[in-house]
Amino acid sequence: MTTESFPICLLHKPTDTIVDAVLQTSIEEAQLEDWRNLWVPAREEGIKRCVSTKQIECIPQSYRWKWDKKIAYYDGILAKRTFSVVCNDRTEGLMLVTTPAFALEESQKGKPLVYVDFLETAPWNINGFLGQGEYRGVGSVLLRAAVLLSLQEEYQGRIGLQSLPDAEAFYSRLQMRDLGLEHSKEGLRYFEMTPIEANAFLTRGGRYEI
Amino acid sequence: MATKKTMTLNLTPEEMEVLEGLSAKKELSKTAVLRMALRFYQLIDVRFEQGQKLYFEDDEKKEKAELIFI
Repeated sequence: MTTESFPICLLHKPTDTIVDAVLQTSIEEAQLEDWRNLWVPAREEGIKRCVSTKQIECIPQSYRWKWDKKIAYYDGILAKRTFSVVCNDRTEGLMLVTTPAFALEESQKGKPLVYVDFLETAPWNINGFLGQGEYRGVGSVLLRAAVLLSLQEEYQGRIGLQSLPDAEAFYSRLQMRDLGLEHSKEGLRYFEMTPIEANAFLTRGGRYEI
Repeated sequence: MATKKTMTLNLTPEEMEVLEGLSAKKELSKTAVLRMALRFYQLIDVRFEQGQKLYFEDDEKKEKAELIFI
């Protein structure tokens, strides 16, 4: 799969300035190296801090995700696509999606959608984990990429995902439709975006989004 | 967007009817239906080669059937 890069903007929270970054239509070895050499140690440091300050609730629930294993498992599979956000040569976000899965929302039932298997921002971007968070906007940039892929695949912007409990508020804020727990065997809430909602999401834009 | 290659496809009337039916039902072009089918087929083929199995499960009837590929 050919990798393409698109310019995007993120908010650098400590200085409250907009910075240039790149959305890549792949996760390359450089991103996996960043994950191994930067994300994993940062995550371990954050977990230690949360444990020592008895703030276990601040540990992101994605802390067990192993991106190297996920990427190796799906290598060469057309139905799986990956995306990454890079800023100043450092990986800030990763996403793995499936095309297609099928919609469960009543008005769209059975129609194809892009299913977001995994979406994660770098540990230093998570508010309350390693401080106030460094870059804001990584998650919405990646979700926007999923919607744009859905449009490109003729799925009319439909996307779906199961959310970890600590990310539910994020997806609700983006006005994804909460279809509850009944569609998930893992006990996670299932969210979908219909074509109308996807169009509204893209139109809303926002200064920190592509 | 990645460069695409064009090919001619020969289908029987029955196959074309199914393709057109799926295209209408899923609100996709015939090309998009075939691309979708290729992705499923490749995924299933790779997993079968790895010795994995594919099941259809009916939650209501509590039935589970294995899909056999030869």
